Amino acid sequence: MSPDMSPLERRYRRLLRLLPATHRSARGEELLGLLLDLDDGRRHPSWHETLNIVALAIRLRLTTPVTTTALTTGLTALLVAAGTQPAGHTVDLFTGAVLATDMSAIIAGWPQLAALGLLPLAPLIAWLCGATRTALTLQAIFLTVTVGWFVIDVLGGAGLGINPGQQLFAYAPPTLTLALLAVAARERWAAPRPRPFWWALVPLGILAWKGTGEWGRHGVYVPDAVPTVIGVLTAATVAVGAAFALRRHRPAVIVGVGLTGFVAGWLIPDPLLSNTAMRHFDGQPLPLAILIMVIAATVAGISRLTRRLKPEARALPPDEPVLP
Amino acid sequence: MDISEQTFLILSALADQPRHGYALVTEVDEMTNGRIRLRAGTLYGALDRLVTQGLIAPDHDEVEKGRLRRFYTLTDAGADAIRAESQRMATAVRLAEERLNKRAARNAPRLGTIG
Repeated sequence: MSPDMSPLERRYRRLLRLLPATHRSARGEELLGLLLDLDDGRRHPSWHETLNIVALAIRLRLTTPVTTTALTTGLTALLVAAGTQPAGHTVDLFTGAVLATDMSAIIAGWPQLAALGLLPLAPLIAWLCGATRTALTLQAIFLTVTVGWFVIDVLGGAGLGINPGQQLFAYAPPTLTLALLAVAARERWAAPRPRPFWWALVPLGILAWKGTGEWGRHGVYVPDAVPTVIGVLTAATVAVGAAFALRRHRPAVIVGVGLTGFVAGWLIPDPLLSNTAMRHFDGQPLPLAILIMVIAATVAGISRLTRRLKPEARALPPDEPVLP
Repeated sequence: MDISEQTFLILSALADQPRHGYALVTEVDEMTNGRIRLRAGTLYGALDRLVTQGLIAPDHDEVEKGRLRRFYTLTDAGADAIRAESQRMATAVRLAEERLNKRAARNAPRLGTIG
């Protein structure tokens, strides 16, 4: 910034740093000139223009390729985790969760149980098939039915003893999924690639939820193992987040920061993590969604690093002989 | 292609000559008698979108009072879009006026009736 700059220009330049770097370098001066023309004679940016620039920055940052990839990956992970949960529990119902003496009632009601287990998969399948608006409509219907059911229970007196905070937290994943699907429909996002990876997660997710049922029943649920699992998940999340934040740096820096992030995440006190997780995440799809995102981000990050470390492999076109 | 009122006004403001952002804001303000005042962020996003859609194109840059001004010009596709939208609106106005005239005729006092 030059010393001849007016206070208004200095403040607007600071505000324009909210925009992505690519937009700032391509059209920042044009936008600055327009802002100075509109607020000519003022010392401070007007509130209207400031809020408008903030809204523009949010909109531009949401639609950068990196943000789009992160959000579509997160959305798909949430859909997989939440969509496969009812199916997994339904499979568990028919394969050991119920005593043999009670199985006849379960078998008699199998069409309804199967429908209730498979219907929540519909938004996920629609999204993976590219029908974003259908996925959005189905998710809106499911959320409305779920919330409506809860409201009817509360009004009917069956809601006594329900923790409102816990209930709001329980509705956070489907509400977040609905919001992301609405943005995806507006911005015409598609499900992330590779598609076979995400399709494979459908049966694997169902098996994972079935596994949580087995885990509880056969005494494999060891309280000491839970903090370790939660600690590993947290450390991995911090590592991936730290590596992502420095993705434009050299590979050695990315790996070093990622490892440092892993250690830092591991150092978060166990009781704090375990109590928070067990109070809020027990039976919730969010931990599975976070695990899927960490795996997807790690695979994508390793793939990018491998490509960066082998530039000669990229330069050669396929099936071309190397000339002497 | 359906275009919004804001887009229609921006394209119309560029119909007769290339203009830069500030001139577009003042032109739209004048065209609507102050009803619509474009904000910088809104105009920036709209210009970006219209360039991507091929309805307008950057024309040239000028520096005035140390401020960069990028001029935009309407493309042939943009002119076709305004023409199509104008015809659509003119048809809608004509149909509405026909119906209003029928309503006025129905409510007009008839000869020979009292009151």
